[in-house]
Amino acid sequence: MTGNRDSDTLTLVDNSFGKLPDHLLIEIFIRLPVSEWAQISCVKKQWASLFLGECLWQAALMRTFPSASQAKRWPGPIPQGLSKRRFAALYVGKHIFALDNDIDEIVGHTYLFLKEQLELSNMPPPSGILHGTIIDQFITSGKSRDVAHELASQIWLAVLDNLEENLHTFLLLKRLALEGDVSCHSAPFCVYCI
Amino acid sequence: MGSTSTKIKLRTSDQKVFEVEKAVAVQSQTIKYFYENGSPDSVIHVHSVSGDILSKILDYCKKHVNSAAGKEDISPEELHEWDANFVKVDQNTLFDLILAANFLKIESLLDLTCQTVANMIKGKRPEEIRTTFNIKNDYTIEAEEAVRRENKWAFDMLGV
Repeated sequence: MTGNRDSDTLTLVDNSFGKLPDHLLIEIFIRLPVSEWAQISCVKKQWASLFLGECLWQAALMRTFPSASQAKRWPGPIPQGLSKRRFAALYVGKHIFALDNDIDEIVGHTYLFLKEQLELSNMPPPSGILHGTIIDQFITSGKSRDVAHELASQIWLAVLDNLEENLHTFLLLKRLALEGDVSCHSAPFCVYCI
Repeated sequence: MGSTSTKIKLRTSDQKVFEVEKAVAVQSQTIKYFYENGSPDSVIHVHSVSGDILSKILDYCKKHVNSAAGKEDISPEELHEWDANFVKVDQNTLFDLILAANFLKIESLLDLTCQTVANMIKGKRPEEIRTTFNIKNDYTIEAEEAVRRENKWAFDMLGV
């Protein structure tokens, strides 16, 4: 009979993770590298569900980016989102752009915004509009026009660099290149076309 | 020299009573709170911690208080090594220490014990994690594959 074996397993389970409440599981998970999180959520349904909730991301945000966690006003057209989004933005700012000051979260959000616009929509807005939104975001955050343009170019390059290689990307790049031909002075693709 | 060292009395879940130096006991924010908000002679009931676990935790607090106060000549590296040995316990005890550190609010001990479990998970595949901690797999093969796909975000969204 399996009955006996089941009760053994149950006792053993209760000796480790079984006895921890969610907030202590979270304390453990946020001490692991982000690259392991996808693996962890495959262990158990309850573990996966923690990665869908706000609590884990808020804890991860406070632990990984302590200086970014105080609530601030968030101006500009690109939304800041909840903790998971903020974590992703800060992570991108730090790891793709090697930034570690107050600008990193804005750069991260802008990067995610642009990547999503290009990747997810079948017919993304013209590059000039996306570019304008990015510039607006930096200017409402108090950056000078020059800095805004410099950052925007960096973000375009990084996003295009990190797009998945597929048909959608190919068609997108083709379209962007054509737009660039028409209005090369305003679009960022003069940089990319070289 | 009237007030040598004040002692605080603690009673555990299994009714064991400990008399502890105040400086050591108040490493726990929970005990500190009860001490400051109750009468000084009363016994503080740490009802979710057993005697065995409390005794270990008090060793930890004593070591850290003594080293911080310079009563014990111990380098940061030696203290670090002492901590590493402190958490070399069976899984059951380790998870009890996490629960107790959380209940007693001892931040550095919670960090130490949670990091220890995190290190035991690090680099393992889901199946290995389940074996290490005797966790029952509640996924079907298809469901696990689906979660794996969905969670690719960790790499996709972050671009790493």
